[in-house]
Amino acid sequence: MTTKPNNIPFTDGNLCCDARHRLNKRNNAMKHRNPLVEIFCLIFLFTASAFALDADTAQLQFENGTFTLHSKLPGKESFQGEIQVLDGLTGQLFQQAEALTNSLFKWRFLVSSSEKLFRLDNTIRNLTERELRLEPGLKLLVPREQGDLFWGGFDVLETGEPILQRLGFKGKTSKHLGGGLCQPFPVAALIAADKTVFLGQFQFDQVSWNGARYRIIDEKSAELQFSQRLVLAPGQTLDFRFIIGLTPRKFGCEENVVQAMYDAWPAQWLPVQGQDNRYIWSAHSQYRAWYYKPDWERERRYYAVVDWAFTPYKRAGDHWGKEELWDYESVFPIRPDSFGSISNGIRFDYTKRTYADFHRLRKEIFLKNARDFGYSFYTGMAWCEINLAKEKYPDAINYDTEGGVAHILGPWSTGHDQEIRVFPMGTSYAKVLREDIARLWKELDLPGFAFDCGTPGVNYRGPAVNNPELPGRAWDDKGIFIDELVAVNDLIDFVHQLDPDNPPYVWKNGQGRADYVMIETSIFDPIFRSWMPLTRYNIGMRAAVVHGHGYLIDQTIPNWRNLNQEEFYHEMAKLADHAVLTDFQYGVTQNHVTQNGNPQSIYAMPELIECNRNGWQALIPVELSQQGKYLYQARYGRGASSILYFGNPWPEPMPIEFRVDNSELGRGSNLFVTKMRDQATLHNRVEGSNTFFQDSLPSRRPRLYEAVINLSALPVEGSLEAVVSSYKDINQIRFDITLKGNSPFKAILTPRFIHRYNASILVNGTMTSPATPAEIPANAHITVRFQSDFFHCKAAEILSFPFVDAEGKPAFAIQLPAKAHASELKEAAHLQDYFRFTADQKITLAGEIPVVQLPETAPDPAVLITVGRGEETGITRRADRLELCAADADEAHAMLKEMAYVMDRRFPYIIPFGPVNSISQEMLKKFNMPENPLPFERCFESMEFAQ
Amino acid sequence: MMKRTEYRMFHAILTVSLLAGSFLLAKPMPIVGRVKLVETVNTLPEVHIANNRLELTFLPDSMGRISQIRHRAKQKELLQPYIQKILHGNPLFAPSTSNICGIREMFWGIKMTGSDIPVRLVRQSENQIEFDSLHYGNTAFGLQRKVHLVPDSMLLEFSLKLRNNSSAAATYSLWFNLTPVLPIHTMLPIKGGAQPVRGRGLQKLADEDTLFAGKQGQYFYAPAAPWAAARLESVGLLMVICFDMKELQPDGFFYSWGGITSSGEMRTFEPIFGSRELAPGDVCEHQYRILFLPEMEALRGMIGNTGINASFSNTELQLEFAAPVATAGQSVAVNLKNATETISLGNIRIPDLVPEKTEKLSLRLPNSIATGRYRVQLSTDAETIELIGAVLER
Repeated sequence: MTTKPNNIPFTDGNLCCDARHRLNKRNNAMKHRNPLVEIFCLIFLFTASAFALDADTAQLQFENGTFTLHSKLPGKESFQGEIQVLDGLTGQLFQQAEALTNSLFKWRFLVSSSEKLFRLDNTIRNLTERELRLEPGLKLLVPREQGDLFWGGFDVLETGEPILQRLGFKGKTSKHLGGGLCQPFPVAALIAADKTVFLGQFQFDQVSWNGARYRIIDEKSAELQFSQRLVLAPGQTLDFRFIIGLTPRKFGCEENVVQAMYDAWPAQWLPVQGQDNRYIWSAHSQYRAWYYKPDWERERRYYAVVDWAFTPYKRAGDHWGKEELWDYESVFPIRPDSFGSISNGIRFDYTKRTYADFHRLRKEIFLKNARDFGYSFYTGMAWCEINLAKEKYPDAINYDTEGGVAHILGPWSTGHDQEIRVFPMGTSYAKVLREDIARLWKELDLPGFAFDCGTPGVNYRGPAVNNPELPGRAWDDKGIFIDELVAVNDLIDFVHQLDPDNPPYVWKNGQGRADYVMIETSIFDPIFRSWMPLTRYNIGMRAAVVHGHGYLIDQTIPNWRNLNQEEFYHEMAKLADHAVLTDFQYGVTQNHVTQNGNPQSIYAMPELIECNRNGWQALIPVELSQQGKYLYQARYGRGASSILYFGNPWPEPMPIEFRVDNSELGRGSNLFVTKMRDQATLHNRVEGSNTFFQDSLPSRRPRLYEAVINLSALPVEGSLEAVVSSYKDINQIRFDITLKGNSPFKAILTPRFIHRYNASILVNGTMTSPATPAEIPANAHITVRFQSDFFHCKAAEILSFPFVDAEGKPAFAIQLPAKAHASELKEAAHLQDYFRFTADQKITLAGEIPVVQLPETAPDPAVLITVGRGEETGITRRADRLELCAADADEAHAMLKEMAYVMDRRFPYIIPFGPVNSISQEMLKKFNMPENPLPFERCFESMEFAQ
Repeated sequence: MMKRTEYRMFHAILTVSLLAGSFLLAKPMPIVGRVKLVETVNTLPEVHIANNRLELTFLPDSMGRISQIRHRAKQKELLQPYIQKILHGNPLFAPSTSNICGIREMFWGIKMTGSDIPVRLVRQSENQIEFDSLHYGNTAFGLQRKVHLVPDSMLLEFSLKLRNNSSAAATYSLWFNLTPVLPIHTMLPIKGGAQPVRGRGLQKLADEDTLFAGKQGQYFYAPAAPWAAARLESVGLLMVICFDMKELQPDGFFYSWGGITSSGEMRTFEPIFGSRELAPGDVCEHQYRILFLPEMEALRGMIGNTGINASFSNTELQLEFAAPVATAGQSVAVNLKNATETISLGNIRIPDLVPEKTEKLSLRLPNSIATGRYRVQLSTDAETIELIGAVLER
C-alpha cells in the first residue's frame, strides 16, 4: 500500500506514486527481487526440493518438478501438475525433475503469490556449447464436467474435441490496417461451472510465442498446458515467467481469469505516468487540433488533451528528416496536398518546401502547440519507405505475410510513399529510429509519441534474430523469429527511459504496453463487436479512445433520405444514446464524430474520465434482480474505489435490486451511493460478503454507483445496515454513513480514491487514524470528507463572480505578478480565450479582458494568477477577487481548466451537429441539424433528475 | 396476403449465460451471467404472387426484392435464399447484415447505402405487383417497379420508372446481380475483338462473338446480345434476363465475378445498362424480362422471348427452341454467314411453343460449302439475330 501525504492509505498502488516509482515497480515486477522470498524459496529448494506457498484461493506445493494446486474453494480439490520442456531441435521432452536439471540446461525458479495467483520467476541456463531451442511449459491435470469451457486466449470454446489449442499469436484481428492482429490473452484456462483454473504468463512479457492447450485424457480428466518458446545461445541464461491461478466462478466467464491478472499485479496494466499526467486520461482531438489551427478553448470543451500528429515527416522511416535522405524519388507522386502533409492549417507541400524550411516550420509548430494540445508524434515504427529500407536497412525488412499480415502498404503515412515492414529492434533501422526518437523528443519538446501499425503475430526472421542479446527470440519449424510486438514494447520502454522521472507517454494504436490506447474503428462498425471484449482485456486499466468514422449513418440509418425529420431524429437519438452507453461500457472516449450535436456525451465526460482514472475492470460481480433484458454494464476500480456502471437501453426506467459481491472487489465490505454531482442517498444492507441496495435505472442514461468506504470487518452479527448520503461541491465532498442497529465493532475504514482530493474519516465526529482499526459504536455516524487540492471555494462563489456585466460583456481584469513568467502569461491567455470563445458562440458579448502586471494593480473584479510564487496553492474567492495560485506550470494548467469547467455551468455551450464523416451537408440541411442538437438530461444531478 | 415464414435453421432466442446450479450436485451459488446479444435471422413480411407454374415471394421491407421463385411442379426453389440477420436484444442498436441474394435493381457506381431498406407496396393483384420508393436504396433516385407474372408462363416482366428526386443532375446505370440457386453454368454473349468497356479501356475475350462461362476473378466485357443466362444445374432450367438493345446504349456492359462463396462456386452473369443522366425531376423508363426455359445445352440467341440453341453435325444444323410462355409459331429465315458470303439455308417454321418444352428442328446443310467459318443468322420480319458461338467450320 502507498499513502498520500495525509496518510490515508490507498489499497491500490497505482493511484498516487510518482512516475519513476511506477516505472521501477513495473520493471521490478518483471523480475523477482524480493530477497526474503528468494531466500525462503532457496532454502526450500536446496533443503527439501519441496515447498508450499499460499495465495488467496489455493496453496501451491512444489516438489521435484511436479506441483500440486490445492484449492481453498468449496470442494477443496487438488490438481496435479508438472513442468516440462520440449527440445525443439531433437523433439525430446523433459518432464518433472529432469526438466529442472539435465545435461542440456538447468531450470530454476522462484515462486511468489499475489491475490489469487502464483507467479514463477524462472531462469533457464544453457549448459551446452550449442544453441538450444526450448519450449518450457506447465501442465496441469484438471477434472472434466459437462459444460466446461476452454479459453486459450482468443475465443472461449466449449470442450468436447480431443484437443483444443491456440498456438502462437496469429489468428484474430484487432486493427484494420497492416494486418493488425489481436494479442491472445496469455492463458490456458479451464472455465468450469464454479471455478477457473489456468496457467499463463504476464501479458506484456517479451515473449514471441506462447501456446495454450486443452487435451482430453479420459472421461473424467483433461490436461491444461501452457508453454513459451525460447532460444538460448551456448551458455546463455534467460529469464521468463509463468502464472498459475485458481478463481471461484460466481459471475461471468473468462472475466474471472482476466480480473485475477489485474488484481494480482495491477502495475502491469497501468500507465507509468500516473494520475497527474495531463495527457493520458481524457479524450483526443482526432485531428482537430493538429490538421487545423488549434483552438485551446474548443478542445477543452471537447475534453480533448491529445492529438494524433499524423504525419510530421516527409519520408516514411526517416522520422527526423535527414538532409541526405530528403531528395528522393517516391513511388507515388508527391502532391502539394498529399495525405497527411498538413498541420495547423499549413500545407507542408513537399513539392516545394526545402529541407531547412521543413525543419523550421515543424519545430515552430511543435514548440508552439505540442505541449498545449498533446501533439503525439506519429511514429510508424514498423514501416519504412520501401527504397530507403532496401537501400539502408535491408537487414530490418520483415517478410512475414502468414495469416494475412501486410508486407507492403501504400500510399499510407505519407501520400507518396510505398512502405515496407521493418523490424524496430536490434537492426540497422532500429538504431536510427531510436536516435531519431530521442532527437525529436528533445528538439521538439514532445509530450509523447503516437505508435501506429505495429502488432503481435508478425514474425521477423532477419539477421537480428541471431543476436542472443535480443529479447523474445522464439522458434518454429521455419527457424528463429522475434514477434513484432516484442520490438514495439522494447521501443515503448526506450521512450519511457528518455526521462524516467517524467516519462513521455506512448499512445498506441492497437496492442502493446503503451500508456494510452487507440481503438481505430467506429463502435458502429461490425468489426468493433468482433474485437471486444478481448481488445479491452488487453488494454487493462489504461484509458482508451475510439478513433473512427462515427455513426456510419449510411449503415446505421441507411434509409435516411426516405425519413422525415422526426423519424430521422428518432433513430439518431438511439445511436447517440448507444454511443454514450457504450463509452461507459468499455471505458472509451470518443470525439466530435459522435459528440457533435450529442450534448449528453459531453455532459457525461467528467464521470467517464473519472471512471477511467479508477481503471476499467473485467469482472462485474453484481447480480441484478432482473435477468431477462440486456443492459450495458461495467465496473471500474476495486475495493473502496469501485464504481459500478449500468445503462438501461429500454424505454422505461427499470427498478432493480443489486447484490454486490464484495469478495470479488478485494477485501472487506463496501458501501455505495448513487454517483451524483450534487447529492444522493442510498440505503445499503450488508450481509456476509454482499452489499445490497435498490435503485431504478433511468431509461437510456448512464447510471453509476460509487463505493464510498470500505470496512475491513463487520459486526459480530455479520451484517450491517447503512444509509449512505453524498453532498458534493467543488471544494468538498462529503459522504455521510449512518449505521442502523449494529453491534459495536472495530474495522479499518478506507475511503475511495478521488483524484485531487484528500480524505479524512470521522466516526461520530472523531477523526480516525488511517490503517488502524477504528471503534465503531452502535448506530454510528461516519463521515468521509474530501477536501479539494484545487478549490478552496464553492462552485457558487465562482459562478457568482462578475465575469460579465448585465449585458454579457466581459467585466473583469486579470492580475499577474510583476515580471510574469510564461506559465502565468499562458494561463491568462487561456482565460481570455475562454471569453473569446463564448463571444464567438454568442454566449457572451465580445470585450477586452486586460492583463495587468504588478506593480500596476488591476481594479476589481479581477482574477489573480500566480504560478510558483510560494503562496498557498488553490483557487479562492475573496470578495471581488478570484485567486488562482499554483505551484508549477502543470498545476496552473490543470487548475485553470478545472475552473473553466465550473464556469461552463454559467456559460454553457452545446456543440452543434456539423459536417463530419457520415453526417453530410445534405443530411444537415435536410433535417436542419445544426439548429437541432439532440436533447440531453442532467442525469448526474439529482435536483433535476429526481426519480 | 401478408404472412411470416419460418426459417428452419435459425430461431430467435436470447441466450442468458446463467447456469442454474440446481441441476449440478452440491454447487455453491449459481453463476450470475449477463444477457448477451445474439445474431438471429430477421423474418421479414412477405407478399406473394403466383400463376400455375411459379410462385414469387417479395419482401417490401427489403427493396421489394424477389426473395424466392418457386417452381410449383418441381417443388424447387430457383434462387439462393435471401437471409438478413439482426443482432437482437438491444433496442438502441440492432444492426443487421444480409447477403446479396434476391432479384432487385442496383445502381452501378453509386453507393447504395440502403440496399436493404423498405419500399412502398402500391398495389397488388393475383399476378402483378407494384412498388414505389422516393429514394430507392437511399439514393437520389425514386423508383417505381411493376412486376408482371404472365399467366401460365415462366415469364416475369419488369417495368421501371426512375426519377431524379434530388436538386441536381444525377447519373445512374441499372445493374442486375442475379443469384440463382447453385450450381450454375453461366452463358454471357460477349462481343468479339477488343471492345471499349466503361472505365476499363479495351477488353477482349475472343476474336469473334462467343459465350463466356465465367472464370475465377472479375471480368468486364462488351455485350454481343441483349441477354444473359445461366443453366441452373440442380433444377434443369435456364434462367435468362433479356431486354432491348437500347438499354445497353451508350456504354452498358457485362460483368462476371468468379469465386467461391459459402453456397459454392459462383460465376455471375450481370448486365449493367447504359448510363442515364437525369435533370432534377426527370423520369426515365426501362423494361426487362426474366424468364425460365427448359434445360438446353446452351443458349445462343433470343427472338423475342424464344430461346434458341444451335449446333452442327456433319450434315445438319440442329436447332432447338423454347419459350417461357405459349408462343405462336413463326417463320424464320436461316442463313450461314461469314465475312464474304451469306448462304441461305431457307426458311423454317418455328412450331408453336409451350412453356417447359423444347422443340427441335434440323436443316440439311448444302453439299458443298466453301472453306471458311460460318455463323448462323436467323431473321424474322422484325429482327435479325446471330446465334452466339454456333460456328460451322469448313
